Amino acid sequence: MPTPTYVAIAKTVLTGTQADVTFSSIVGTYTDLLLLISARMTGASSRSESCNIQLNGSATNYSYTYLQGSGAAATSARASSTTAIYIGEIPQSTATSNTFNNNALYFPNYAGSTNKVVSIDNVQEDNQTTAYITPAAGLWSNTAAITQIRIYGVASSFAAGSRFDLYGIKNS
Amino acid sequence: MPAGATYEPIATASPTGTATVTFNSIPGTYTDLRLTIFEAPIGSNMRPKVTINNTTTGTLYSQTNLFGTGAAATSSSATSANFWELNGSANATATIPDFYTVDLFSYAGSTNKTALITGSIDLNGSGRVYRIVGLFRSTSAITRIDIANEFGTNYVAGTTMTLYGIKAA
Repeated sequence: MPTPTYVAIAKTVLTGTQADVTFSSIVGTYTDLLLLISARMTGASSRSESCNIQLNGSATNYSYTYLQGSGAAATSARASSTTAIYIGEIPQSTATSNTFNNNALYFPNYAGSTNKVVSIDNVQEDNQTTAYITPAAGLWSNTAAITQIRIYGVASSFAAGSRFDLYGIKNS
Repeated sequence: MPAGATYEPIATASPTGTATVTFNSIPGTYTDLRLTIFEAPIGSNMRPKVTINNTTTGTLYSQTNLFGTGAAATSSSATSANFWELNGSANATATIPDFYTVDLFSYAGSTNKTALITGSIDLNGSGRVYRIVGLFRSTSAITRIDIANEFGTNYVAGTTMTLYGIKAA
C-alpha cells in the first residue's frame, strides 16, 4: 500500500465557546503541516477580531509581514521581534450570522533545523463595506521542531461550530 | 478497490552545491501540479526563478504580482519575459529561510499554462508577501520544471523542493 501523502493528524470542532485551541505533541514524521481553520468569535466589539498563533508554548521571537484588502483599501504592515504571529481576521458575533472565516496555514519543513516559517491565507467576508482578505508570511526565529500550535483571538473566545483541522504532508 | 491516490509526491530535491533544480520527465497522468520551494538561507542574495519545459528564450512568460512590503501594498507586472520571478526583492540573510508554492492547473492540457504562485518571505524587519499569477504561452504539456537561484549562488543543505501531482476524480 503506498504511503499516504496528506494525512489528517487531529481536529477540534467546538460544541461550546473556548478561549483558545492548541494542538500538542505533533509528531515530527511529516515534511510539512497544513492547518485549516473555519472560525467565529464570541466578542461583540467589532465585526472582526484579530487572531494569532504561538508555537511550542513560546511568546518570543516572532515576526510577520502581511498584505490586506479591506474592501476600501489595500495595505501592508509588519511586526518584528514580537510575541505571536498574526494570522488574519475572524468574524465576531456582530458579523453576519452563520458566517465563519477561512484560514489556511502552511508550515514547510516544520520539523527541520532551520528557523520556522509559515505561509498564511485568511479570508473573512461579511456582506458589509468592510471585510478582510489577508495573505501573510510569518517567522518564528527558533530552530526547534514545531510540536505545538496554539490559536487564539486577541479579544474573545472561539464560538461553537468553529473547526480546526491539522494535516501532515509527506514529500516521499 | 480503494480509490487511487489524489495528492502524490512525484519527486523531491534537496540541492546542495548547485543553483538549479530540475524536475524532468513529469508524467501527464495527473490533473494539476503543486511545487513547493523551501529555500534555506545562504547568506547572500537569493530568489527563485522558474522556467517550464526548458524554455528560456522566446519571451513566453508574463506575470502580475500583488505584494506587501510591510509598508505598502503594491502591484506590478512583467510581460514578454524568459522566466517567472518569484520575488522582486532578495533574501540575503544567513539564518532565515523563505517559502514559495507554484500551482499549475491542467498542466498536461492543450491550453496555455497559468500558474498561481505564493511567496512568503518574512525576514524579521523586512521581507515581502506575494500572490502572483503567471502565464506561460505554450499549449504543450508541462514535462519539465526548472527552479534556479536567480543570482547564481548555490543552494545549501536544508533547501527542499517537492513536486506533487494532484489527480481529480
